[in-house]
Amino acid sequence: MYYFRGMNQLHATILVVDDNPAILTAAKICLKPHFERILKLTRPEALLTTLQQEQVDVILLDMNFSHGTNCGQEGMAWLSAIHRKHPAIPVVLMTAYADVKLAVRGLKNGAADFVTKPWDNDELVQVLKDVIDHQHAVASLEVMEKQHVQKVVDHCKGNMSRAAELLGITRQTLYKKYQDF
Amino acid sequence: MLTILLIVAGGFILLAGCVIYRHQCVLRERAQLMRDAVRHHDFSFRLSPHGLLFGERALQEALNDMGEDIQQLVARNEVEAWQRLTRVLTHEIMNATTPILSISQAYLQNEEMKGLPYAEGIQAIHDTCLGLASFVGSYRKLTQLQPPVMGEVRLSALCQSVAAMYPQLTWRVDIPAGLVVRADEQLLRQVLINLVKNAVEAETVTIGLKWDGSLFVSNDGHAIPADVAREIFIPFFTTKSSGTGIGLSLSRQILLMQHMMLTLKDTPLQGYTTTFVISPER
Repeated sequence: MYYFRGMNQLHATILVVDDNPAILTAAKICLKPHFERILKLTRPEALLTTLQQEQVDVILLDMNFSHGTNCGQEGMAWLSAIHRKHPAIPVVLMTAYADVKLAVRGLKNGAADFVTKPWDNDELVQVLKDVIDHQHAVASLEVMEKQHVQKVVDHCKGNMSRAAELLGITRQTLYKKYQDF
Repeated sequence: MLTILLIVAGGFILLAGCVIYRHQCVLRERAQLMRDAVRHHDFSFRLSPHGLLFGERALQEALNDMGEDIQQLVARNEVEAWQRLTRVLTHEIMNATTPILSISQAYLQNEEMKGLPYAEGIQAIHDTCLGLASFVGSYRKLTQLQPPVMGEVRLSALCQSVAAMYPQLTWRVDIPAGLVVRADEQLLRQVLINLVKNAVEAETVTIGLKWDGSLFVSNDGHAIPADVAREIFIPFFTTKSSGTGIGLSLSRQILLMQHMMLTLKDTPLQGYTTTFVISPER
């Protein structure tokens, strides 16, 4: 029976960042059957430029770049940088085995989830799929809100004060939401 | 008259001089003994303060104590050095096993691999790496031990509970009933169990537990050869068995966190082939 490789692939792009090229290769081999595009980066310095040029759905970020004792510091800094510039893109952390403290800190700092190294292939795929699903759920909530606000404004024929009153928010909040659209 | 007095006085001075000189020679000998001991890395010397004046007695006791403090410092340093090395090594090993395990798993699950001769080889690679990751993983977890929860531990009761886990062995427990030590009961129990497990693997029949300022844990299984004795506390050393023990290196670390030292006694206690000593740090 001929197996259509492409059929189970999610239309999504994963960006993997790790200074070990073998791990990038492993991630690509593991994820390619499940996700349409896998982008690889060995150096986190190119992260922000890549994010500006490419449409990325999830970032898989290694936490230990330097071999010093400050393991995790650099990764945490990059996590914050991504979160500031691209808050909509979820980040999944790759942490060292049994480094639970670092993983928890990462979650507190805005990471969507984490996997430990070494990972189980199926588990990695599932974590990434779940993160993407969650992101879609959040995105669709935002879309719903946007549509609702628009409907109310149209109903009030552009009278923002009236619309704000109906929505139960202040005029300033309504203006801000409008700006975000 | 004066001459006689002068002669007698001179005699006394000479006598005093001789006594002082001899005493100084004794002190010099002591100093040399201590120097030799330190040169041979033996910090456990304890010269008796017998025959010393009170000031010298104080000096000798200070030197004795210092020797013991240095011994404990050296041992503690060694453990901490191994600890740091273990952390780095396990980290690197886990990093290396990641792509090996992931890629081999992916290839094995690939439809196109089914039935090919390569599957067997890749499976072997995968299983070996899995074993390595598992061993290092358990080691790594234990090197990130929680700080000990110190409490008052009734040693006799603890030893009895460990003895109850190994009814097939003969137990000789010589610990004062009311004795209480300051330790983390669970961790201390783990170390004792580890020592007993090792003894069982060495085919011991009897286990002796005796308190004499320190806890002496003895067994009459196969003795540890002299050349091996120095290596038993090195991390990763005791891996012959299926890896169920926590290893002597970790036992040492666990005890160090509770300010106790684990050492192998040079000469085992009477009637045994091996004696480990768990002693409180000063």
